Amino acid sequence: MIRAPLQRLPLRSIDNYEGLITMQPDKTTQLWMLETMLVSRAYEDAIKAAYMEGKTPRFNMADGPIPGEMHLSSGQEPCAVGVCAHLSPADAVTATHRPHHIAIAKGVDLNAMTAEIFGKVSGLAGGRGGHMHLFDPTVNFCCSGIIAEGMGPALGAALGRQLRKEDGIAVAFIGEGAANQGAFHETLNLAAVWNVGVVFVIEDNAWGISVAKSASTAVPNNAERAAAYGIPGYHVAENDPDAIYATAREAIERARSGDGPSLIEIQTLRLEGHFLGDAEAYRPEAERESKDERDPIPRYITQLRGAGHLSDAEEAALRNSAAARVDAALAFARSAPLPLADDALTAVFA
Amino acid sequence: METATQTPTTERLTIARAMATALAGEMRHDPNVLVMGEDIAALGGVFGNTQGLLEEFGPERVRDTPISETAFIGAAVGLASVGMRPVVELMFVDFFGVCMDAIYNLAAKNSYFSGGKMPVPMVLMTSVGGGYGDAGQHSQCLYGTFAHLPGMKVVVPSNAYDAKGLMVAAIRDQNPVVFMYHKALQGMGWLGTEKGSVVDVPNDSYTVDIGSAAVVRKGNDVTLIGFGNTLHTALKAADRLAQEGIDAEVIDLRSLVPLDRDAIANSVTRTGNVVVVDDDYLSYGVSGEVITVATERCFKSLQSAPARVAFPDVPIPFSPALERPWLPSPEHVVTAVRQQLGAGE
Amino acid sequence: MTDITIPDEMWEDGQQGVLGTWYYKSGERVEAGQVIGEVLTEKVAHDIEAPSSGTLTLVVAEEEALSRGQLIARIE
Repeated sequence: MIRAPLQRLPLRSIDNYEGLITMQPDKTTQLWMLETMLVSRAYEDAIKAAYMEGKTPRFNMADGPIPGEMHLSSGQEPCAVGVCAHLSPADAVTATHRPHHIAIAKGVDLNAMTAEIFGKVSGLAGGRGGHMHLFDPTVNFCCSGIIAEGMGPALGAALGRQLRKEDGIAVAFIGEGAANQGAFHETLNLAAVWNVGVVFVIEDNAWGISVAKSASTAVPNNAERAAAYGIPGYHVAENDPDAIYATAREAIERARSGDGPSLIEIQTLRLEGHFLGDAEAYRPEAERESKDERDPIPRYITQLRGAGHLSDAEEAALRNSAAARVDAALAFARSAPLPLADDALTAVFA
Repeated sequence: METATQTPTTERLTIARAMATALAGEMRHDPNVLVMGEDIAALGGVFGNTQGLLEEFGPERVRDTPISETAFIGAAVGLASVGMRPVVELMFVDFFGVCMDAIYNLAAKNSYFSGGKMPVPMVLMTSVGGGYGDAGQHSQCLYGTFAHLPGMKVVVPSNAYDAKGLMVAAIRDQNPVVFMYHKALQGMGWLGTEKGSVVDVPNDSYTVDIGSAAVVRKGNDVTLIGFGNTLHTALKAADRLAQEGIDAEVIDLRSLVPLDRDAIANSVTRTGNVVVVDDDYLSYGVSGEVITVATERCFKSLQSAPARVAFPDVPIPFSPALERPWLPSPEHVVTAVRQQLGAGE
Repeated sequence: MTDITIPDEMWEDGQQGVLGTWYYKSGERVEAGQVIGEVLTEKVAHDIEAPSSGTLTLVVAEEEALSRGQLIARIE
């Protein structure tokens, strides 16, 4: 597929999304986004508590019902809901080592996902993958732990849909650290050259483990890098579901119409450490302390109430149903049986 | 109560501290040594092996890198070509997929391609090993992968004494050395540590020869061969076998390339039985290589078929119920030895 | 005989400390200045140095939660 002559597309900077009035989400969508964020946050809080079981007083990553690493998405929920609000099960999503909010927004089976995180036989992969390797083909969601390596598969999924003339595009979620990895540059270039309907979403939480973005990245905003590949780059300065929704809508419609790839960069917020157990000594004290003031969920609730879209009773109902869903998923996971040792030797080859 | 009249000459160190001590010592006496990698400067390394270096040597010589392995490992090759001695960290060996070209096609081959005129004196240090729930992309050992490709030395310390000596030797070596340190031996706040790896380490600078194995327990009935984490597995098995009247000799390979084939052959010729313990994947790796040495050189002395205990040829599963039964353990080794020795009855 | 206790400033109110690892066993000889173990708090791993030389006696075990001011080892 040959592209039209290379164009240098102007950088769209969505600092003031109110200008895109026709792209804002309607009330139903806003309530879906809030509900999904509430489920996601309740989930991360429950997983955090379960993860810490057996790991006190002395933290040993191998102990407890959920061993290994745990990367929570608290604070980054708007990125997941603002993008996934536009997606259907046929659209493919690849995500990273910090996947839970995206999996939830994409509609991954919460019970099977939780059982997988607990390493149980009823998990998505019978316990073989765990928290960083969640695969749900029914909604075309997968994630993995090597930085930037989900971008190529997203490109391929979208290309495959185009070749098969099927509906469906793809979205790859990455962190800002991934923008310095070879796969980022190769994939953007290839997606542009082949005009593939894939959207790349950078969740910029400003920290790659202990290294700040300013110390690792040659440009202030990764959205600018899109110009190097002749594709549109969007910079969303606010960790706000409506702003993200509006931006994602434009990029996703472009992908669906055959107009090719886009890069979206969202300034989001990581409320927990890189991984649980991380003391975050590298993060400036002031930044650690101001995090809770910038929590996007209370801000969105205030915004919806101000618009008359949410009452006390509605908020309470959403919180209760979120808690119930999360409780049910954890209960399902805890009561599920462990796999047998010999199960480790199967499913290597189909 | 005694008062101290002289400063101690040794310290009891974890492998992480021993690595940091070795790096600091070499950086003090050679201004060409520098260290680069992800989170190795301000954080002192995710595995604690570069603690204190940024404070002492500054950001020009101790550099946090972006997540750009192919660029900074390629850069290490370039640094080495103009007289620097870079030590680079690949945070998890499992990440080699994004940078293997710089390692096996450049670092490992430049000396050969230049007839020895452009050696690559760099150290690639990298964490290996699982057993704590980090799943298939963060738990691998991959010893065989690196040992198989010509042009790079490969060392695997089992304790802090060897870790310091091998690191000093690696930095001084004119060749690329892959220094593979096992996470279960590091001694970090967030993971358990094998106590046997925490040993007294001389404060002075010293080297452990690359390419030399160590007999860490003398015995006559069977040779157990381990390295890194599995050296401790072998020692524990030897203790249990002793209770059954079986006297095991335990060899710590310490280096995979060059491999101390003489040490293997000398021991197996004497004992006649050998079990290799390797926590890498079973097939096409170190365990197979060691058994081949024993078979080729000790055939007439063998009293039983050489055996190996290794991780099966499957991606490392997340769930402890799936992973732990298959990690090489002292029980597995004892069973293998009993089968070998019982076969003679 | 020298007591080794947790300094009051090692962590703040509301935080926790735990004995991480001992590098020596009871009965072993240690020299003044050697790092003999580590205490883990929520932020940092703290080295425990032997204040004098002599025979070490451990008073708390690994993984035990600690209070500030608590006796953790003796040297004589």
